[in-house]
Amino acid sequence: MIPAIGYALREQNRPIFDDPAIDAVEVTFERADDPLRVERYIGGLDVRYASIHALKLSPGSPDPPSEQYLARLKDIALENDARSISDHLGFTRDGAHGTELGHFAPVPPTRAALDATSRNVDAIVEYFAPLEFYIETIAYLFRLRGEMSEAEFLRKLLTRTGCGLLLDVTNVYANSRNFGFDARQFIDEVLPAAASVQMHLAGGFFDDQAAMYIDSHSHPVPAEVWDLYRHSLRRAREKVSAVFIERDQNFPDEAGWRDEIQTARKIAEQVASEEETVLEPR
Amino acid sequence: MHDDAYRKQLADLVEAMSRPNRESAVTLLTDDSAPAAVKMFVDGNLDKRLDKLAAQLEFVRDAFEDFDDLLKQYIRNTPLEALDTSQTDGERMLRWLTASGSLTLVQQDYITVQRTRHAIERLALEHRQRHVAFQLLRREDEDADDLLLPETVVHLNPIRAWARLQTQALLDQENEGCELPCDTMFFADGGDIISVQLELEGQVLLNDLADNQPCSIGDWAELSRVSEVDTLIELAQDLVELGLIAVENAKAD
Repeated sequence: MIPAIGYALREQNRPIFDDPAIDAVEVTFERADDPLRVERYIGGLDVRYASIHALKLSPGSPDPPSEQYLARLKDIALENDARSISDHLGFTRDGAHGTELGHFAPVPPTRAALDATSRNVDAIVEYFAPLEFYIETIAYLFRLRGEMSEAEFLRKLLTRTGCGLLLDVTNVYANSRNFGFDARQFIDEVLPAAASVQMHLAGGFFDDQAAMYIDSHSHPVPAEVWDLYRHSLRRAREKVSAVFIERDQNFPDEAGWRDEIQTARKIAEQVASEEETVLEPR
Repeated sequence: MHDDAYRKQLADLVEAMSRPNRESAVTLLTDDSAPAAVKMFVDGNLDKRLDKLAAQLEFVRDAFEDFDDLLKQYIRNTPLEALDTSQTDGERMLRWLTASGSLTLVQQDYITVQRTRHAIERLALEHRQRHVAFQLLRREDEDADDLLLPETVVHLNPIRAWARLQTQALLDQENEGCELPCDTMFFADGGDIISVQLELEGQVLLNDLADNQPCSIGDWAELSRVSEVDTLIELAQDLVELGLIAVENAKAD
């Protein structure tokens, strides 16, 4: 089975959604959440899979997300015929009435954090049903000490809650480069615990001063990430519902947009044909 | 205790990561994580907040010579609150500016207008279905180009708010003669917000309509004790063109 494949929607790539290689769209909630907007954000885009991408559910916080934010997310999802909602495995605030960081930080991989995150994800899954919820692997600049590995934390979270995994392949690549672990091993450890999978692909750059690979969504998807994508598709097989490419800076020309999405589809088709070869009865 | 300890841990982390130059206060870093990376994270968040706030309050910038400095000062002193958006952060900065107590009347007008825009956005969020329904009805008006009649039903734009301006600085040229303080109505026009100054008589008529709409122009005339319906039809025509009311003519069988 070939997953639905598309872009995270930006005004710059809206014109190429006529490309036959695209049959999915991801909508960033904060972009769609304009109270004065009259039409739905995706307009007349004809895709078979839409997903809403959130930034502030903060599942790693000790308190559950606000009902107002949940309701608004679900409204936007229904308005745009989305089948799923996703957000990042991290925390953006210390509590319902506390302080907001502005961006998600990695949770400390502790049992206490796992309990709080699982509780929040359970509440999120229940609220969004029948829409699916996917939790995303984030790129981090630093890590916090804990009692288990990131992969173990994620595996336990997925097993406990049954939520989907948004595997950001580029984030895993960036983290593995920056913190010296094996990206394929991480993917192999995590994917079996996910009931369903979405994927993110993007390109960043290596910051010489920080000596880190930065997931800036500013460059084409690098060869190493395409390889990891292929590997992840092989491991996750028919569990992959959708793949989205993200780009937020240095936008390519039309050929660049089309080329990248066609590459994503071609790889998915190749992997699917490998599966057929293996599964075909003799 | 398990949960309380986690809550305390996150509170300490967020406290350290929500202000500049506190990276050394972030404990719990793994051995392979550098405090410089925490600084990069914090600085990146503050830069993003600054950009968003500057974009949100772009209109107000014109009233202040040192707006960039004020933005930085505000951000340095006021951490984001849980679930803040650009709008709520912007609203808080406007209150912070007002509390300084040293604003000119023109600066106060700029702040009043920006806060009214925020109020309009909040109303649209709260009454999204009514907002969309009204704007779609307006589009039908544009397509139909119907004549207004006493039996034409009028709907008042639900997303509107009054603001009182103390100077001429932000009044339209044609309304520069408006007596000060000048009450100005702001309302949603599709995805935009526009404003209109109405004379006292017009304000009273709109208030009557607000209490009784949707209703026919004939009923509106009656409840407002307007003897000449044609006068109200003329006003309604102007308000339709502005986007403040939408009309619905009875369909012929």
